[in-house]
Amino acid sequence: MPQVGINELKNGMKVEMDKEPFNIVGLEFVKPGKGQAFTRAKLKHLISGRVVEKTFKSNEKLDIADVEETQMRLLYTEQNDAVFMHDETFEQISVPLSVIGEQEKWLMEEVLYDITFYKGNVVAVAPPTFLSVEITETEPGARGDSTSGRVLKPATIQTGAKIQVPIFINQGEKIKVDTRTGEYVSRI
Amino acid sequence: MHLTSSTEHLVVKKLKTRALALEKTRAFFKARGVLEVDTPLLSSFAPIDRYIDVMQVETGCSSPFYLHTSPEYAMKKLLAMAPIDLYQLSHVFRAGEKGEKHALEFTMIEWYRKNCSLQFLIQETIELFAEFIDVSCMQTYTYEEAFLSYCGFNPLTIPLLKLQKKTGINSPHLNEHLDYLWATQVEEKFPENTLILIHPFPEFLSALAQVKNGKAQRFELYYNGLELANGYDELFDAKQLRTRLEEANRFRVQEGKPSLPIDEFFLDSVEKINTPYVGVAVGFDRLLMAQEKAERISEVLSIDTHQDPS
Repeated sequence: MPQVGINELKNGMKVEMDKEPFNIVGLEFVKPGKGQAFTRAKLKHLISGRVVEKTFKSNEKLDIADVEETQMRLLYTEQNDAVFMHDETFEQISVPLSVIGEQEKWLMEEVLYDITFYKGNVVAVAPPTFLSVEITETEPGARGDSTSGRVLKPATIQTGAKIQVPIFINQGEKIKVDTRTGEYVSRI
Repeated sequence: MHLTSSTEHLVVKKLKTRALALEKTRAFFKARGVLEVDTPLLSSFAPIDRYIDVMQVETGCSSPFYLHTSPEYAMKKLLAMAPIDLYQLSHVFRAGEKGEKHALEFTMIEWYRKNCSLQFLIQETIELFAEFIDVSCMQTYTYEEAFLSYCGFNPLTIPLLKLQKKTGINSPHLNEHLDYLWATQVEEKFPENTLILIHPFPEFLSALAQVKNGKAQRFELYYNGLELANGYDELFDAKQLRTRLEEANRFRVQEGKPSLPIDEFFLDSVEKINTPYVGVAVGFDRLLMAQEKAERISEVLSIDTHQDPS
């Protein structure tokens, strides 16, 4: 694999450390006036998401990770897989739900997802930051319930995920959610 | 007509801050009888340092020219011809140094005092700083004491293999582990709003300083995580200096860097200097950063040459 010098690193670059793929999420140049220059890097493991810190001498090199990122649309889900298609190439791939992991609760047909490939295999699927979803199940909000102090109630959305919504939201309504936190953002 | 745009207001404020700082610096030295000099940034020689890389420039001449990393060599050539007290406010250039506290091009205040002790110079540097920051709280450490206080161990006395395990740095050189520990553990842990004086240094870190009683006559000053000053009891022994420069070159070649031509005029000049001098270099932009509580050096520069955030 081609290499990149530490002093050429930029946030967002994908590199390999101990044969594992990482995304560079932070860089700090550090140098005493008369001493050796270092770069302190924050690296996020591409699959586990764990963030590690490592300090490199400025003259070191890292292997560039064979990572590709693209966007593909969810066609449908089966028992164990989700099938995506690329809008322009019409290429279709089948991604095991085990790879999708927690993000499975945000799978909705026709929606565009960020797909990350490492060495040709899908390692991550990420939903858009905000999703418009329908509330498929929730209790009606009690009128004048302000005395109890509760402002949120549980609800199920069309993907099957369970979130908290304000008590004035009713079953059948469409809302906007933040997929990073699972929080209600607004009505549509 | 008044400028009403808030961006314009911020830019003007930044320019005024910088202009006032330059004015205060000049007034400071004028009051003390130190003469301002203005030496060229361009030279056919480059200061030779293990870890400071020089920018080479195209001048239309066949031999290489360099942008100085410090006005030191030029000023010392002047001292050989005119043994007076001098200072310079100079742009300097260091290849590859780019970050929150580093810029490829930055400004140094560098000055030399004859027949003065290092203590005098330390005091004078603090007095200059007092024009910009609150220096009422100060702590002093020797180089080793700083490590002991903030790392909990003395990296100068433990075996290199053990030190390598502690730092995780891939290097056979002791000083690189020390630099790493200093930059990532010691420097960041100094108490806030406190001027930190480090003096003296171990002999092997003497750079261009005199060595007395086995200690390098060097000092550094830090404030809020910023290295602000580097001062020396200047070594003018051309033979010793030549040895140090050749050693720096050898190290550079080992690291795959180009060796640089030794400035024979510089060595001839220092031979001629008969008066003892102490000298110090201060990061002017960083001093402003300390004053303005800026997080990034770009906040105090009139124009940020490298806009690339990474």
